[in-house]
Amino acid sequence: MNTKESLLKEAGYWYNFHRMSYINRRAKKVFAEETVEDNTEEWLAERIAEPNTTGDWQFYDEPAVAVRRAFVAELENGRAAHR
Amino acid sequence: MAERRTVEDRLRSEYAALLPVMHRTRTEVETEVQHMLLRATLNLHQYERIVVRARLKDCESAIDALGRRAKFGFFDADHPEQYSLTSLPDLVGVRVLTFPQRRLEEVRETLLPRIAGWVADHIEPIVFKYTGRWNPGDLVRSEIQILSLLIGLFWEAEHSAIYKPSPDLRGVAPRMKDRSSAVIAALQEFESEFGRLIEEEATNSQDPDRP
Repeated sequence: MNTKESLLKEAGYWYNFHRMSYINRRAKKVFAEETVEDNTEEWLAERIAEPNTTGDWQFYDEPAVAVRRAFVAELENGRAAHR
Repeated sequence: MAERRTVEDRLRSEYAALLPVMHRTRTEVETEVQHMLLRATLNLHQYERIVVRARLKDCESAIDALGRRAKFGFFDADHPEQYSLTSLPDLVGVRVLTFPQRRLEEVRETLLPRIAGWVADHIEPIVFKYTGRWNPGDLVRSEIQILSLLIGLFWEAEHSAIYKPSPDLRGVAPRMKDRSSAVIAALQEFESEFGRLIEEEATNSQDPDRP
């Protein structure tokens, strides 16, 4: 397991194979796998540490409107977050 | 009011429209590859193999593959026009399975001039993959894989066990990675040793002092 994966796991994120992303249901935050790969460990640690003040699911990177809608619906059903 | 067609439904329609073209391309690639490899195939020893297999990516696999290229694995329903199955590199696939290792090199050298401009995406030294259009005007792209017969057969079994029965089992694949790597390493070792021994045997059989 590399450092970025360790950071995410320790912070309570689970990898979702279908959505190619790391999800934390409690924090309501989602990191796309490619976003994790494209950024540094420092960047990732800062984003993990920052509080989600949006009152909604927070995505890194923000997807298109329809994609967000579908993803949030799946998350709210609990399916994606528990995989 | 009628429901809007999903991206997946649009892609299913596209697949149906592309199917005759895919069949023609498959037949053309498979037949030409077999023809190019005819001389090598006729020269095989009894224990050697060159096997050519062709397939069309099935509809749901193609849609699934395209979906995995989309952000978070979701199609953007507001912009369905941005998706086309013709962007996939392997709607048509031809796999050349060889045994032993020295035949793999021979096959590669034979086919390379025909696919010189194609995109290479190898997993060296296990599989040599090339993607491109068999004819410049082809609507769909083809993929040619050249790999060891032993590993190819293992992959077929592994793939059908882990991926095909249920998409939910895809999560198992990463956890099986170490085991799969160990099997591939063992098969490579077997093939390498077998190749060494048959070379040794061939040398010894030419020794005039051999009883």
